[in-house]
Amino acid sequence: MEIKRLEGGSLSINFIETEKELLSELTHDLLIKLGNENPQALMPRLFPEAILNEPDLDSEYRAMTVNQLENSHRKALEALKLLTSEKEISLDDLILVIKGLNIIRLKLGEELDIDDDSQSPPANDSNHYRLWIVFQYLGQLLFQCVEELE
Amino acid sequence: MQLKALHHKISNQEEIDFIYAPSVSTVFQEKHEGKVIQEYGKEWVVIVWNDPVNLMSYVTFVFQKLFGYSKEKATSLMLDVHHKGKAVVSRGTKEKSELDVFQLHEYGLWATMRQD
Repeated sequence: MEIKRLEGGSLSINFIETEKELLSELTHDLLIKLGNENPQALMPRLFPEAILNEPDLDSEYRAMTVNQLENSHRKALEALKLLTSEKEISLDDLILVIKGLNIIRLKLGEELDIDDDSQSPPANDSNHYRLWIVFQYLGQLLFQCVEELE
Repeated sequence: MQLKALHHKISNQEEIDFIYAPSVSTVFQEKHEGKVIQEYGKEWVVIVWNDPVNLMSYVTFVFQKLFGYSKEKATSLMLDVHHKGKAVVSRGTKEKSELDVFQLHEYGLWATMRQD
């Protein structure tokens, strides 16, 4: 991916075909999971607790926000899927791209059970090896996007 | 109201308070908001917890974006999260804290709130 700030505040962005295919696949899968009957149980990292040790207050908070949070995740993922084909995007678009990339990383991190930022990669022949490579790669894309916002 | 009558009113201190009652009230409320919150024991804090997935530069960006913090303050908070495991990133009423937590969750940060 190449990304560059343009005069006037917008950004030129260029994903290579492999990245477009990868992000399309990942966003598609995650959008299906978000459409599940109870996505917060399936993906707790995307729907974290808000109030610890206060189950009643936390339930009240969740009841109030869960649909909005799901919609927000969905919006970011859909934007990411669409914007990979664009050549020029706005700063607001870039923030949606960033949110989308991060949501996917959180989901992959959950699947990979990452609990330490210096964690060693899984063995080459492990089922998780490809996921781990993708997780690292998306981290690099995210880093590039954030750098461009500074 | 005619100019003369208005001048008469604002030359009288008691009436100034009356005329400006809404503004004075707002200023008082803003000035004493912290005290009022504390008196009623309703101040809440928002805590961001360390997690091994979110990038350090990303967390710094989110603190700047959501709270308008300077790069220095956002970086300092991010480092607290990273090294100490958590950091208080905002404080205020329950409603404000709920909004802050929601927005942090939208960005994928692990945030919670509690009464201070």
